[in-house]
Amino acid sequence: MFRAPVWLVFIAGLFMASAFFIPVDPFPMMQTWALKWDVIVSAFALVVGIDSLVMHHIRRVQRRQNVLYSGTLLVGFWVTIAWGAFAWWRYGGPFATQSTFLWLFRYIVVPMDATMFSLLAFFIASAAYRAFRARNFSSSLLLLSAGIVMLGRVPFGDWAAAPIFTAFALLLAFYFLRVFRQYEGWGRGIRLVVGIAFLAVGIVLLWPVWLNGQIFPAFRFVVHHIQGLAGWIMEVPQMAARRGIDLGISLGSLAFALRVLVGIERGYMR
Amino acid sequence: MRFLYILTTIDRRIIYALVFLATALPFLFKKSPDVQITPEVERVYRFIDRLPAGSRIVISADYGPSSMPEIQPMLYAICKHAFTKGHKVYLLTHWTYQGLIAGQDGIMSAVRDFNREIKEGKHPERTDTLIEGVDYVSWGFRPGGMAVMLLMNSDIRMAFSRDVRGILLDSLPAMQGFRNLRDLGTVENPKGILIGLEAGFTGDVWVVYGQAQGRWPMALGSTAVVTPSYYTYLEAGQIIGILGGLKGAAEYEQLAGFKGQASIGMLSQSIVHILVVVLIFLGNLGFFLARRK
Repeated sequence: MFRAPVWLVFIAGLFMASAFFIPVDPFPMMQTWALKWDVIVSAFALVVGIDSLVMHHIRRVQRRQNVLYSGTLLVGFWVTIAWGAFAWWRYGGPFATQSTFLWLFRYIVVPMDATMFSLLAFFIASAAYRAFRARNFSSSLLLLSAGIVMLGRVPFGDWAAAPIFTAFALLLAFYFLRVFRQYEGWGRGIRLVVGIAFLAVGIVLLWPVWLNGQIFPAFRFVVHHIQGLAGWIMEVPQMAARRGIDLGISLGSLAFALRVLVGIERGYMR
Repeated sequence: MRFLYILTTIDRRIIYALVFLATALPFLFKKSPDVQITPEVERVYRFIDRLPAGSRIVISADYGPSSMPEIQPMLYAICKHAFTKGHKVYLLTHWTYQGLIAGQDGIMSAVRDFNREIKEGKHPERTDTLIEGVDYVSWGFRPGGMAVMLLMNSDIRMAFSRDVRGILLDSLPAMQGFRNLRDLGTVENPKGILIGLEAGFTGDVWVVYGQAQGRWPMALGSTAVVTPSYYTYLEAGQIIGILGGLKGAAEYEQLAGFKGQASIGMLSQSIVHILVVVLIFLGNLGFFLARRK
């Protein structure tokens, strides 16, 4: 009874995959045939999706559940369709240059959507202040690279970077040199060395040596190289981690696709 | 010490107010600071700049209103640059009506401004204004995503038989001799480029399926959040460059010789970035002081 869909998936999958490995007719032709069907089925899926959305909200209105929200959605939906149809009749197309249909988008959808998305800036700032802490080595590394990228990707960020990094280095030196006595053995030694290292970084950044006609040479070094450092973080360590994740995802997707193709995974039939 | 503790326990409403002021106030001054040009943006600009006049710039506008502040300036700057060089621009989207209208809005703004500049005599090499179907075409939206991309590698007309106005593609002068995406040539012998302006992961599908099969030149422009995921394609040579976030758009504007919305927004972004890093510092200061106690 359930064999027909499994065979259909197997054949369609084979049609799609074959052209990638054997780019000689009839395989590309078979792939094109499968792709045309894909576009047609996707268009029908869109209709099914619209039907499902509208019916769901009509039922909610009938049951008096969140009538305001569902009602707003339904009114918006029908007004958009009606306005689009009117624009088609009046201007020859909803996307014609003079079409008033575009008002809906420009003056309602864009401000609402942009408002929702821009709230992120406020939440991110507040969350970063409360939660972004140098609790251990890993989070300190994350904090440092995030700070470099944030400041290295904007104008004036380079000038702000040097004083902020100096302050951070001195803060961490202050912390480690105060707490190292509370520990014993290796813990004490490591904290002392880390504290001295941060103190050295802070002092070097602020050291007023006259070098090559410049005061605070290390400070200026940070200013001049922060953008390059941000680029390096993006292109080397970030990309290496990302490529690992991508490879994992790709291998997982491949395994899943093979399971679907040979009929082991039949979740789509439920 | 009390002063330090006050700084480390700032109420979130004050933070919101600071972010609001840091974002809004710079827009009143309309100052646009110069940005440092990164190689990945410069490569895209130089590539389009060196294409022979009449080359094809295909733009996939896969974003919606939420990411318009970042990506719309990219579309505008690329279109204006392409029109200045005498290239033809083709627009499509995989993001239903949001991408369609956002893309349509962006290209129409560029066309309107470019036509005005022609009338003002700012482009002496050109006397006639841009005409839809001749200098630019909007293909619109087709459902299917990956299937549409692969079909376009075989024949664009199989995915889009008409433009957004309902006119047959075969009857448009801009579509003469443009059968499929392979007509964009290769990186070594380019006749055009496809630029994916992405707010999500449609760019991955373009690279993995469309570009991998067609081997045509490709670049990506994306929101700053999505950009890191595209660096793998850049390093692998699958794309020639990336325009990352508002800064990428501002860099392109600067290269194209004008200061637009992205350049104006950079001052806000700079101040907010610095504010967030300062807030992180204060938060950590409080954290260390609390631990010491």
